[in-house]
Amino acid sequence: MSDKALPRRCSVGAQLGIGVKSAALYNPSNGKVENGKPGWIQAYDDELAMDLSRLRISSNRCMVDGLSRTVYTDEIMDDGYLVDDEDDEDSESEEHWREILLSRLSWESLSPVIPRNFQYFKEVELNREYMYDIKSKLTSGHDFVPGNLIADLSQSDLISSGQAGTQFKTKGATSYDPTVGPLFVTGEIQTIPDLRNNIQPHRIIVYSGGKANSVLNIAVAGGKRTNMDSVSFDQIESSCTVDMASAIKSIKISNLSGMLGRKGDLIGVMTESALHIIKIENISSRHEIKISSCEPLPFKQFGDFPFADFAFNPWDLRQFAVVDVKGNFGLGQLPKSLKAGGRCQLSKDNFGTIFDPEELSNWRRIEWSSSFTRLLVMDRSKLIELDFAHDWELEIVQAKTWSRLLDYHRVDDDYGILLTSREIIVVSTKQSNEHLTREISWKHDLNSEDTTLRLCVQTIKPGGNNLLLVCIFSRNHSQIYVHCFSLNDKETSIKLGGTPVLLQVPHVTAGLKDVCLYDRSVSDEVELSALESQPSIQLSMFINETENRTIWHYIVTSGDLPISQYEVGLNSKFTNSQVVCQKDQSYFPLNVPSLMTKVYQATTAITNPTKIAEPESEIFQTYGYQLSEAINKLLPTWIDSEKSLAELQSPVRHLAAVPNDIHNLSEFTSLLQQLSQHYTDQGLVFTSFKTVSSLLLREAAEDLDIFYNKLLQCWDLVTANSEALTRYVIRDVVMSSLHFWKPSLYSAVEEKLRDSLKGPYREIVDSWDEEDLTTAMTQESSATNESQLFQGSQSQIPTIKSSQTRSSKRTKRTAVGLTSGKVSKITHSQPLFNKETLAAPPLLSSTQQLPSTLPETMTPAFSLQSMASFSQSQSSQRSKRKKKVGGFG
Amino acid sequence: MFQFPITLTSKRVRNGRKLRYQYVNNLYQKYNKMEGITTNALPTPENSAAESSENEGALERKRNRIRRRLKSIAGESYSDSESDEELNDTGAQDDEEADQERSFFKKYEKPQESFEKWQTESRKRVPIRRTKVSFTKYQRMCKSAKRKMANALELASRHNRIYLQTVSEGLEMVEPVDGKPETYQMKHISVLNNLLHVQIYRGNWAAAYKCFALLIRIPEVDIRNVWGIGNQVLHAKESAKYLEFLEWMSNVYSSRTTYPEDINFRTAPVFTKGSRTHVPKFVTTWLWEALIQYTRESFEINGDYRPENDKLQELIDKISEMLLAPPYMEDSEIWFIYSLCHMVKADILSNKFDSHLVGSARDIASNQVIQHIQKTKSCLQTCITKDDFVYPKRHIERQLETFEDRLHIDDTDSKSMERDTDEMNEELDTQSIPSEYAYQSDLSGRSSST
Repeated sequence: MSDKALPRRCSVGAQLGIGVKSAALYNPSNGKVENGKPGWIQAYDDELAMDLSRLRISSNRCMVDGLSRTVYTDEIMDDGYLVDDEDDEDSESEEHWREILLSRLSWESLSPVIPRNFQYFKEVELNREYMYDIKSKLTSGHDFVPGNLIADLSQSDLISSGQAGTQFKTKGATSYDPTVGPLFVTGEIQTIPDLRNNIQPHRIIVYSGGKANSVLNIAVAGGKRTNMDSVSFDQIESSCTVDMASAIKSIKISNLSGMLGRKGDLIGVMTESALHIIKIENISSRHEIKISSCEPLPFKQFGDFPFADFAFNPWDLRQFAVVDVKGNFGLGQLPKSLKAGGRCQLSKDNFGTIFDPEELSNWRRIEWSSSFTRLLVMDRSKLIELDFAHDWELEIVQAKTWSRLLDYHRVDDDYGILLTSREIIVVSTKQSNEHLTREISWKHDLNSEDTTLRLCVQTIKPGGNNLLLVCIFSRNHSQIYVHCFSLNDKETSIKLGGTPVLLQVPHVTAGLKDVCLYDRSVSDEVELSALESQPSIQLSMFINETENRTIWHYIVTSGDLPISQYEVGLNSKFTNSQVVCQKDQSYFPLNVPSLMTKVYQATTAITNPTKIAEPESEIFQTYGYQLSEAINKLLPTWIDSEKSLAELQSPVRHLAAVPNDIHNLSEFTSLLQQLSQHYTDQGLVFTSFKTVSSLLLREAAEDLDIFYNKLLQCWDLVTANSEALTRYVIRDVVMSSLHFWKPSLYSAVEEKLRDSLKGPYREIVDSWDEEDLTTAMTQESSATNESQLFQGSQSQIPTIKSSQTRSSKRTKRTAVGLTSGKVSKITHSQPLFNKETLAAPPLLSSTQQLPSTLPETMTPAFSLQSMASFSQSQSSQRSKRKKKVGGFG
Repeated sequence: MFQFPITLTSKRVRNGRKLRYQYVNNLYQKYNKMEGITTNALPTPENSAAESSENEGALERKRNRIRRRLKSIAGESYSDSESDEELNDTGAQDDEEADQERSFFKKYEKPQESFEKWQTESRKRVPIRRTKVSFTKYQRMCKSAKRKMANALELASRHNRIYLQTVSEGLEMVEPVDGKPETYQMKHISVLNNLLHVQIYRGNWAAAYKCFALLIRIPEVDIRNVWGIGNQVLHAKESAKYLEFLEWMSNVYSSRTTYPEDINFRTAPVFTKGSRTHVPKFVTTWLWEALIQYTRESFEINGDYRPENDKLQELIDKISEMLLAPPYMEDSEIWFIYSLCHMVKADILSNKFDSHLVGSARDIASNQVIQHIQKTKSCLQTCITKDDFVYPKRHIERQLETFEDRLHIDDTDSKSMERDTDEMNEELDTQSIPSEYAYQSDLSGRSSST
């Protein structure tokens, strides 16, 4: 063991988590107490790494590719060819018909000239008079495909078991294919001509597309960032597409060992049926990509099961390894030159299996370990390191009990990152070590039952530090869990940096299928010094949602650069697919927070009641004045009937400031009633309380009190401040639903509209009108009768239940000799009523009238209902008495 | 989204799990039969199935019950296996099915140190299995396994049938299988838990503190599952309290019992529990935090060093109590912490050492330092003998030598010592601030001396 490592337990390394400390090393003071601070070298270091909490995701995004893009392949055939073909057929058939016609016609000599618009069949007169008009033609250049089919196709790796055979879907029974790996990758490619000409590697992005997810797109990720001030999205320049003729399951770019000093030029594509290896031959200065490929390797050549994963040997450009869904693995050799007809050779000696009958999941991973003969083969419950040359295997990790292996990422020759359902583990695959060893782990605290967690690792170098950014994402939510590890300069030890952060991906509501990062920050030190700015990292992030197959491009940055509107999206080929997301508001309803603040305000207003200077009646009076003034002002504007009707009816609340605290609801009612009465003379109609309450309560209530009491029942359960809250709610509801209008205006417009109609329609309208008059009248009357009945029954049932026992008690009490004053005291102690409006005698009388209809043995209902009913029966009595207050002229 | 601080179980989930383990065990049996593998040492479902008479099963159940009863009488903390007990008490059939799960887990060692079993000994190497599993073979296994559990499948709910079908095809469920809270309380806990985590990652400590306070008051929530979060929150919010909290944790929850490997397979003991062979993480965290904190404090009070309120000494006493009094803690990491305590002490004392002292006062002071250095060495020796802990040996030895040198040098030649530390810092390849700082100060020191 090297002398420089941190102290740790041999087998497990440093185990960290939130608030969990691990072994540290004491670095003593340097003899000078004044200067030398005692230092602890820990596995956990905040200062080294960058501040992750400064990471932000741009709210802008641009679409890389969607379903809508047409697939274009130059080798096979294009649309033009198809069109030509059809034309040919047309002219041929025309010729054919001409011949037939000529043979049938008796006057051959005339040689009739058939007009171009000749029709072979008798023209059929189609009835073009539809019962409705089609406003816009439903024509589109696309074929009709049922929506659910598209949805299924676009989530190709999702299998909803509810579909098979049964009609209804079982909730939460959606499964997915774990062998589907990354479908969007980026990597650096250095082709052979580039190597010869000493050209820097190109960054390319490779992704799957097409309707059936079978088309591979290869594009060069665009050039350098020009200025620091604006953050623009990369230009994705020309792209090259290849049709794989089978659904793509995984894409990988070969990543060569740093020892070779070059980048690879191979792309591996695993489809449902075969493994394709594609070589990038050349990338021109205009970013045109030339590719070549050998014959695909079908899985049948290897074994009975489809491939689950593959890997390129980082030390040998021509070697690769495959593993199938049951754990059979093998090595393969690429042909010397990748061209049509060349075949991959599977090694006859180097194969084996890690098959485990207890492991059900199809997920398998294969990756090279510390040297070119060593492989790591994984399934969900174990990790096996094996050496082909020396013929041994060792089960390094056995995860049968508390965790499962979820993902593995090879960082470089020295390190790899293993994601389990509990931890992120950095493993060391150094050649000096005998085996894979655990270096440092972080307990990530994400749900361990979520098997869809995936890893995305990016090396970044902000300000000379060497950091590993580890992102975990899941199909179940749209948060990305970001943590970083820092390697020191010589990459001899690895530490954990900072605390992790959660990044919420904007606009995404469902989960994330793929996340892909690459570093695009200015790393050149000369450039940095020229710009004289803090080193900030800036990453491009590509995200593939689970809901649809669109790939979105975001910018992640730690700098405080303004993330500007993207000017340059993609080049002309992609311009049609640029989409500005407009759906945000529907995703995140804006009114929820505002409601919350309202509730909060209301409650605070109650807890600190403001002293009311003037009595309530005066407030009402002033309010009434204000209101009537506003209405008077409004009315002249309504003279031009059409103009006024074009606008919306304004609710009453917009006219004058509604008083904040309304304690006396019945007075408020009477105020509004007087207002409406006053304006009825001027031909104005106000929405009546009946309409409001029948909308909300499904029964027509005359008075706000009833409404108030009903609401109070609900709020009382929730909060102690129910009364005030209810009043707020009532005020808001009533004021926003109260409208007024002038029927005379409508009649003029109605007349005009009626005149514009033609004969039969007018008749229909007229007949409607008549019917309306007669039946509506009867309906109305019956409705009111019914509603009264209904209201009566509705409101009385609870009354009876509760007040019956009360009243029976009361009668008993009176029999015993208690005074009625005590009873009224009891009711007063209930905080539901205003003392001034509630007088004891009417209450008593109203309740005492009721019990006669009831059996005495009935059990009491809960008291809240009884309160409501009390006031109901009461308020109907009171409403007439209480119209004295307020008034205006 | 985040790990629940409690285990969520519902009947549906339990049944689904049973089905899966039954299927897996059937596959395993069939595979062993086909391969002609006979398992010897551990009891496997094959063994139990071969002699599966009802009598046997009943006997087994009875034995289990007796054992459980004995254990509970013996007064061991038995809270760990509550869920299992509950599971077993749900009836005879449940018991039998639970055995499927149990027999699956019986085959595997349940590690305490980490969530998985890690093994890096090269002598455990075996030759590569140079075979391939064929489709026909696999299909035979599947068919036989499915046939065996036809009855159980018939009785299972639709949801569980779909689940088993999916899982047996090698697919995985998108939504967590038992991640869904099904009662209001569970929902409450899950929301609170998510909120707690989110607030921590945002660094919103006040809100996190509230969430944590609420969460630990729910009776079902075991504080051992969330102590790390609690430590972090307290550290950030009320930094005076976090050491107290950790100390309380280690006082209350340190268990010195043997690890009950045969029953406990629902919750991982890695971060939550301790046993005779596994020191709980909160104890080590407490010791490390305390050591680091006290070191900082003792350097802050700097000039006036008062032995009567020496927290470091208190810590040393506590650790020695843990290590040297029964029940003896035999963890190498604790020994390492113990040695570091002495080392820090030696550092402080040697720094304080006044070279102008003469006579017995000098002897006493230097003896103190020497004593601590000796202690450090002996503790490290013990740590080494445990054979599962590594540390940079030479680095520590050099430092100890430096401390000793401080006793012998005069004020005039402090340069040699500086060179020593300088060398040491280069040796220890770290980027930590102190070493850089030291390097700079050294540079300035050199320039001034030249």
